[in-house]
Amino acid sequence: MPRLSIHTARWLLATVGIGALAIGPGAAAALSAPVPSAPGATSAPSVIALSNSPGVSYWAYPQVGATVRAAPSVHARAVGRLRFLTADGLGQAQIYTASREERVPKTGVVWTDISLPQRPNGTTGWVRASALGPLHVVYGLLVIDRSTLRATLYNRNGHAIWSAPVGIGRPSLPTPAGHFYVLEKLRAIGGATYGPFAFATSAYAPTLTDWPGGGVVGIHGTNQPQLIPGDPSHGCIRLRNGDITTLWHLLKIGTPIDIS
Amino acid sequence: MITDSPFPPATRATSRRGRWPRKHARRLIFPLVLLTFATFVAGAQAHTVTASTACSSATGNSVTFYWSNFANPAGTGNGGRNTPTWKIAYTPMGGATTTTTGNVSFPLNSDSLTVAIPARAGRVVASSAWTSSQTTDGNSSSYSNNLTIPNCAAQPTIVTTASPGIATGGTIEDQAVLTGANSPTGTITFHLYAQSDTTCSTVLSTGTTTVNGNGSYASPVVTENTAGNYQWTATYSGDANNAAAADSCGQPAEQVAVSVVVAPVSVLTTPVSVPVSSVSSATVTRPCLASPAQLTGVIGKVRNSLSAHLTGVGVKSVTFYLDGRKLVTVTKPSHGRFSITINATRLSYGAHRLVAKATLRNGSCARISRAGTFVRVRAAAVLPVFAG
Repeated sequence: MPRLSIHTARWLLATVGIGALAIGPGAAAALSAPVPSAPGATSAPSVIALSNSPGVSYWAYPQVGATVRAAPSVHARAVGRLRFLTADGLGQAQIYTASREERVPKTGVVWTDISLPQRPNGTTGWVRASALGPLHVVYGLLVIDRSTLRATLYNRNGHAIWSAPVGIGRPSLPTPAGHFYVLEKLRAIGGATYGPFAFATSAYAPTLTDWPGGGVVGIHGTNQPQLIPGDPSHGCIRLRNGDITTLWHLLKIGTPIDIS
Repeated sequence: MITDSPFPPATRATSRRGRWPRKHARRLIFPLVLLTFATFVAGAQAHTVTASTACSSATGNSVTFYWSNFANPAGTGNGGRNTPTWKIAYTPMGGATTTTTGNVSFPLNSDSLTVAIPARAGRVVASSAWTSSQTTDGNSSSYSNNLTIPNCAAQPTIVTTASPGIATGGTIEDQAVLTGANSPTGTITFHLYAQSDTTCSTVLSTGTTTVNGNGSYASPVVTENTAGNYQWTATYSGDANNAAAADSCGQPAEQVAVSVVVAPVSVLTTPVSVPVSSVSSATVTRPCLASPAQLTGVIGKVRNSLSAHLTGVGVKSVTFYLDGRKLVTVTKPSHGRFSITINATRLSYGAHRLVAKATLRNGSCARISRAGTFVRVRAAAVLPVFAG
């Protein structure tokens, strides 16, 4: 007798109105226990948003190196492949943010819509939900406003809990706009250029394709605080070292980042 | 205004002397005379240091410290012969102690010094002293005390996450991550309530963990035998440098479900043939597992070691395989879990697959298998290679 995956179980619960958001962050793990099978499952809706709040987001580690496709089908065009380590060569674990899930009625397979940290920026795709581990919940949103040269962190209720001036990419090497997420949290050593702490984001500098590490847009400290606020960087977001230290304690892996 | 009274108990007792029996008053007269004489000779004039309430602003504030009750030493006056000095020391959050000094001149019985304190400075340590340069009376006085400005305490945050839901008989726990504190000590107290207890008024279980720095702290493990929905709360006690912090009742991340043990249809029941001689009908079913088998602790990133656990009532033994290679067979569960700890330092960076194959007590049931992938990662202290 077939056994439902945790992802199917989560999807089933979502369709009856007690989705992951309603259950809360423990839901993903709570659903890791097998549940009684429900052949035929349900009909509509077929696509379930994992969160209807900008302050609540989900991410997961990959479980297998599966192909990511443009649509929830094995026949859809491949847009990427799940990786276990980040592409910048720093040896950190890759994560993927998940925005929604869809159960294909014909096959019963549940697919998850994920964001891919790769070029071009903003790439998304579908992967079998079973290719991902349990979903982790993360609260908050980091907004980088390039016009005001300011970063603001909002909590799950939309209240600003931290804000600081930033340095962004110079006009010839702009910081890209879009929706991204925090990929790595690093203690920066080996020099003062990046300050004491750094975050890797899922964004890539548009023009620095041959940069070491691939041109990942980071959020980090600096040894030139006098240039903040301003546009002195190669695309990264620079903060004064005191500000990056504070942000280090507040910002979690998987937190979405909006650069506008 | 915060005042630390420097008056010794004996001095305060004099103000109540009138209410005391006469014999007690007589016994006090001689010591008081001696004390007054000694004070005059040594010049140990009592003075106080007080501080204005401060740090109400998140962006920093000024604290004004008041020196008062300086006595004018006998035989001294202006002219530079007495240059009492004072100093104030404060320790900003995460920073070094800073000392500010100044001089006052007599005649004087009060003065003040305003010091800008960074926001959330933490414990403020203030001390003062004055000395006389005149040799005839040898007066000097010192006063030292620690003044804690409450609103200057660091304002830590506590983020909590309950363990996954379980079947009855399993264990649950809570985890609290304390951040933003200044070298915190104290305790984190975890309370378990029923989810229906919307005001968190009836504690079902309590545990306390000692805090030693910012970081993650786990509650004691609770074995829950009653099905239902529960919720945790966690409260950081605070200390001299840090304000208390707590998560509120009803936090979504603090909910945990304890479900009734049910034999899932898919894997938990296997037909078992029973001899016709003992049972009139041909076949009955009994569960292979009394609770679902779960492999935990595997998924995610690993640096130096990994502890994985397989739970499931009805499991006899568990054999663990790493990347297809047999590691060990565990026959004795600990707290209901068949566990393995793997030294990951010799593993390559990247993905590894851990498989747990369980043999069940019901010998007629097939072995079950659970697997998970973890990623061995490098240390997070690196030289970034970002765009810069």
